[in-house]
Amino acid sequence: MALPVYVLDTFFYASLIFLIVAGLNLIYGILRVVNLAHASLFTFGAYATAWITTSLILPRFGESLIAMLVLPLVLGVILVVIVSLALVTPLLRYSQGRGDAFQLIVTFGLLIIFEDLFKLIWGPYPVSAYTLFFQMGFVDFGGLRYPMYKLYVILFTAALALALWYATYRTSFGLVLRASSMDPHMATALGLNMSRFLVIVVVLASALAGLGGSLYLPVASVQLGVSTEFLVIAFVGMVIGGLGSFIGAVLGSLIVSGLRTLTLIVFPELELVVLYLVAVIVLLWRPEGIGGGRGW
Amino acid sequence: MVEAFRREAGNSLAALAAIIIVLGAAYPILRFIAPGYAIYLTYGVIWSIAALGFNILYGYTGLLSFGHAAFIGIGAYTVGLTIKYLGLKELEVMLLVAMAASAILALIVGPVVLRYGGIFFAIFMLAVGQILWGFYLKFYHVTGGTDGIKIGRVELLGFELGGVGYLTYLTAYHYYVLAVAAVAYITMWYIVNSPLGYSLKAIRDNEVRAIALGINTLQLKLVAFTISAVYTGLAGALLAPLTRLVSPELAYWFVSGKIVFMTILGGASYLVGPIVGAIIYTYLESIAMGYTIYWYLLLGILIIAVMILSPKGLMYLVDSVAARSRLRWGAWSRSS
Repeated sequence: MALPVYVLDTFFYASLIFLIVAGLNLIYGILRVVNLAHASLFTFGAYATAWITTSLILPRFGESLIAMLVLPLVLGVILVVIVSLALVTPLLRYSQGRGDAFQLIVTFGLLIIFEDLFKLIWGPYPVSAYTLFFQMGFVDFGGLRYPMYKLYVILFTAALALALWYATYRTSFGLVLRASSMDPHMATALGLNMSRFLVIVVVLASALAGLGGSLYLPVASVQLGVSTEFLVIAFVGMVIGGLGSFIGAVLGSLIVSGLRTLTLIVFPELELVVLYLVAVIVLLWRPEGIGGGRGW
Repeated sequence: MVEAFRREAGNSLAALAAIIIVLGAAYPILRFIAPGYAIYLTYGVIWSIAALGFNILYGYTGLLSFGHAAFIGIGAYTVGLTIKYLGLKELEVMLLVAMAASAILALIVGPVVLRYGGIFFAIFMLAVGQILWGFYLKFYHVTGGTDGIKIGRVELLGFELGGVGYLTYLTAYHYYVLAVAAVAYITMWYIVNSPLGYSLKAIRDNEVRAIALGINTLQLKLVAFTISAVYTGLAGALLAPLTRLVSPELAYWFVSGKIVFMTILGGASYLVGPIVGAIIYTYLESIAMGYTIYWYLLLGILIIAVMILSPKGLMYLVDSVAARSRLRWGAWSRSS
């Protein structure tokens, strides 16, 4: 592989990590907790997309490109949001203000519930649907072939990140979001309906994770255990970027992804070790993370 | 008065002694009435050592670890690797090596992960567990990968047990494990009732105050972390001859969650809580696994239910019932 491919792959992986980290940071901003079940929504999005593709799109719409680009994203996100509203949101609301340990243990309970729900619904074997990936073909950069689909994911996520940035810094919703992540008590005192706002934030975060899973599926298969893999990597992104910050999510996911590409080239066995060593170094150098310390 | 009584009951040496006697007496009874379930008592005792080790961090120091499977793995793989490469047979030696290996791992990762409490500690430990789990899988030429390492019969206290029947071997192993556990339990009682134990509780209750009182919190946390690792590593080493196979499964993140659940099920604020929790959990798991393959699902629901309905665990329920009946009994005996 040539260098440009590595660079593009880094951006592709960073897109996926960003969609998880952004949600984790959103929830952390409001609740001051890491939702251990968050990456499960990513996995759920991936499973749902595989299921929608093989049992809805292929039989009904054939290999129609538009159907494959739009339907899994829309339906997948709707499913993830429903599941999040039914399982994740009530628990996070209940555990608000009950301490770190309570929140971590309860979300861990959710994580293993999800793990078995996946097994119950989709079975213990890896699930995949590569149709879209091959359908979109490859682009040529002067003799260099790169999958069109990955480019699409990078651009899509970049656009989404821009939209998030706009919502955060240019709208009244963003103002409330930033205020409540800086000081939840003060935001409540100023008249913010915290418990309703919390639902909005958790749903938004879940939708981002679901989108990530949905975008991830066409390039890889999804199986049990993927959630913890992504959770552990996404946490490095959180730490490096800065807990609970939007800029942190962008920087953190890019750095994590870059490091991951480097270690995968040099010594793949030590991927997690290197990631966590860097996280520790960043913590020693700047405990609030590179882009953190200022709220969302 | 009620509070004082509650604090006493679940933490006394007498309670520990009662548990040890029950665990010893229950084995032959189980062997007689439900032979298939006797082995789970041994498993329960082993897990109780791990949960006890976990709880000196969680219940006494206030640090929640989601990576104690790392130490289970270290303990079990120490046994596996010393048997495979050194041809060791004496379990005692392997236990000591496993405890030393766990302590070394704790002293390496401890200064790093303990610096940032709360969420950081929980997830950094999860990562440590995942990293080691990855090693067991990836360095398959050493660890056997997913196939793991097979463990034959081990020598207990220098006795060659290759020739005895399997049931006799299991019985001997149960009492061997129980003896080790008894030492571990009583040592833990001394630890939590020593100045060290009180300092740890001071850190748990208010770390800033503990620092102000002159406690070197980072150093004490490292001590607690190392003790915790040694206990959990010991449990891992004891598991290996019983599972007869050391595989990455033993170090999977789910195992860490299992240890967390055992502790909160029994009650983290009691010395005997994790022990009771571990025994009950082991039976719950073995019975539930007979009916369903969706044990994670059930367990997840159970974890959330326990956290919501009785976050202080079963020992708290037992204790409050006991306290209430004692009060009632007192009132009744005074009035009559």
